[in-house]
Amino acid sequence: MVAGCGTPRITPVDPEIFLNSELAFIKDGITTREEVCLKLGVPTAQLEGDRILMFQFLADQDGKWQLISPKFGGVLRRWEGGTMSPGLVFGNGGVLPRLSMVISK
Amino acid sequence: MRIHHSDIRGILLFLACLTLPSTPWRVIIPLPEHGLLAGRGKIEESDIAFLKVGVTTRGEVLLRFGEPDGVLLDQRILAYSWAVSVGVVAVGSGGGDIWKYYLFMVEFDEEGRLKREEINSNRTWQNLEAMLEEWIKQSENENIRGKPCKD
Repeated sequence: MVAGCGTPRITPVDPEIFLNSELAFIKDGITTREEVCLKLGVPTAQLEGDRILMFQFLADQDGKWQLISPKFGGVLRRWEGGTMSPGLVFGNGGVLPRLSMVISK
Repeated sequence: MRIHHSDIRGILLFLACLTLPSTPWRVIIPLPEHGLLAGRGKIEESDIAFLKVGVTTRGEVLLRFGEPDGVLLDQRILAYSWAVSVGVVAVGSGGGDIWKYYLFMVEFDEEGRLKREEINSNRTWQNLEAMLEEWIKQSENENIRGKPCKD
């Protein structure tokens, strides 16, 4: 039987895997933008002022997640397979109410 | 047994190499869309069904699709791109995928709410870039028209 293998879709992943490791310091409604930036460093994207911060992580050879810089091909970003891209949306008081993550296939 | 497009492609290329003479030749084998040649993944129409003009915020789009591949016009336009294979081309002793490019463009109003969105595809990236430029021009023109004149 011939079966097709389609194109992978942009896939949201449960940020829980990072909340148990690299983002373990984050506490809903308590962690501030400043704390995130001090712990993680410069975000790869910053939108709506500094309300939305995005970071990119890629696992190294030992399987440890490392923060990486964005890569560009022309004006658009270029993605390496396996890149995790958590997005953090901060509320009015600068504390974190929402977190989501997308994986690059 | 599951046979994937990559297997079929390999078999077809192998057969093409065996059966064709050694003079210059070119074989194009169209296949259904498969694989991901660039980008983070495909965005289907069903993935964007939740978008509502005047309602959905930039934050919601970012939380669903992640970091955009392009941020343009003071964040009014976000762009996500990807490319898939739609077949293989064999030329002489070489060959490769036939690419198809996709671009998902989203525009937001000044309050950060969805203004319009569109998914386009093309066999050449330059044509999609031209579409993006057209979007930018439209957005710039509307923005100029929408601003009150200063004395």
